[in-house]
Amino acid sequence: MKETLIDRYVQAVGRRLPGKTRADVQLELRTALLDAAEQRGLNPAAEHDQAGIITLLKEYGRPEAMAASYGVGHSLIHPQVMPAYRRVLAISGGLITLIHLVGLMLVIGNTGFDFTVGDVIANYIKVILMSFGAITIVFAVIDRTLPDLQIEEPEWDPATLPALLPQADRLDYADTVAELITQVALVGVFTSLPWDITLPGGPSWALIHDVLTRLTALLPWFIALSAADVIIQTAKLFQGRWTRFTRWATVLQSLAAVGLLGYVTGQIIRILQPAPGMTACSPALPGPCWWSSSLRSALPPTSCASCCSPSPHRRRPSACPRWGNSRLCKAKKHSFQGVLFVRPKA
Amino acid sequence: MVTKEEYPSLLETLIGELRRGALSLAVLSQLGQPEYGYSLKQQLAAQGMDIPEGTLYPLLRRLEAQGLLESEWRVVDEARPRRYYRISPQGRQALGDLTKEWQAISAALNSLLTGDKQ
Repeated sequence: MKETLIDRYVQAVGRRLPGKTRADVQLELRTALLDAAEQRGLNPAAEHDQAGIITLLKEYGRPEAMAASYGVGHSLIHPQVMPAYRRVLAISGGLITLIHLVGLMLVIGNTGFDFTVGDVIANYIKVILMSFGAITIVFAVIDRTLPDLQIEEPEWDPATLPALLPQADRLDYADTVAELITQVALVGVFTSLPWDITLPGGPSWALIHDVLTRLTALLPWFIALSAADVIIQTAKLFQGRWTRFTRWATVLQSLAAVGLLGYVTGQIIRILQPAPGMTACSPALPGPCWWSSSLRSALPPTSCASCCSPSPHRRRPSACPRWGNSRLCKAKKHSFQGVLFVRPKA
Repeated sequence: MVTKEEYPSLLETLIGELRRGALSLAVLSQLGQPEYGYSLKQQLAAQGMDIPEGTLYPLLRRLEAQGLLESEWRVVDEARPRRYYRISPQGRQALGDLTKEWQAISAALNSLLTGDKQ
């Protein structure tokens, strides 16, 4: 079936509507347009009727204005000024990015790389959000304080409506926006996390400390992945569709995420590996014994760093001869802890 | 102070404001029988109340969301399913109340306008 201007108009309206009502409104709008065309004796698919269809669509108005009229609430930015608003956002976003990159190169050239990737990304996001927020406020104020403002818009030409997208290229706007918000929030969380986590001392915290230390070392990668996703989702929203760039970027970002996840899992498994020549027991952790190679450096294996409380519900492992020997710990003035480090019996 | 060139635009705005409040009443009054959007538009236009599509369809949705209208899809032509709207019991009550209000406003305005002429 030939793609018509009416189909393109309905698509353009639909992409600005919330997912919940989109299909319903699109169907009704399409029927209404076809009825109106029929009433005027126009065939939307006929070449010689295109002028009449264009006139009809102009009467319906710009897709953004039509979509806005379905809005349940009041939009902060009036549809009339939306094209200008988006243009200003795009220009300022590009400028900020450029200035940041140039500034970063100058700083690195002068003083070297004496800051973290997280700091750079956090600062960039902060500046972008502040700028976009300020622009939004200015537009909203202009819209409200100058209600009679006549903005000269170039005459809308329905012939310029974007072509119908293949099903695979269509965006789910709700999902895209939700992912964008989630990733921005994640960047915020990751960048605000303390880079040096201080935990209470003692061997019972050593395992947690070790895991956290390794995870925080990976924070720049988490931030970079989330920031990459923010860029991808923003690009999708601006382009209004899936493109080759966003597809490949998503594939690469997903591969990197899987790789990072695999690396993290590997690190955790490595931490929990039994160390050659020593065993750690913890009644606080599931199972009768807990081993950690990463704690080798944290505690001397021969010392009674801590004592496990004897538990009738736990199997007393033969590898832990001093299981429950709290008296020995007390004698050595060790405080009671949850992890026992001992050298297994030969 | 608007200039002579700006006056048509101002007048258009004022007429829009004047009509806006009456649109719900006009739509409710015509939906005793089920109608789909385009037929309703034609029906209203034939009686001198031409409502732009960009106003009528969202208004129908809004009135339905408010419980004043009910709707259902009917597929007579596969390529062109139509959504039919009709007034709900709550809408009938609102129509009665709004009609009374409208008549009161209309009478008052007529009186004011006639008095102005004298």
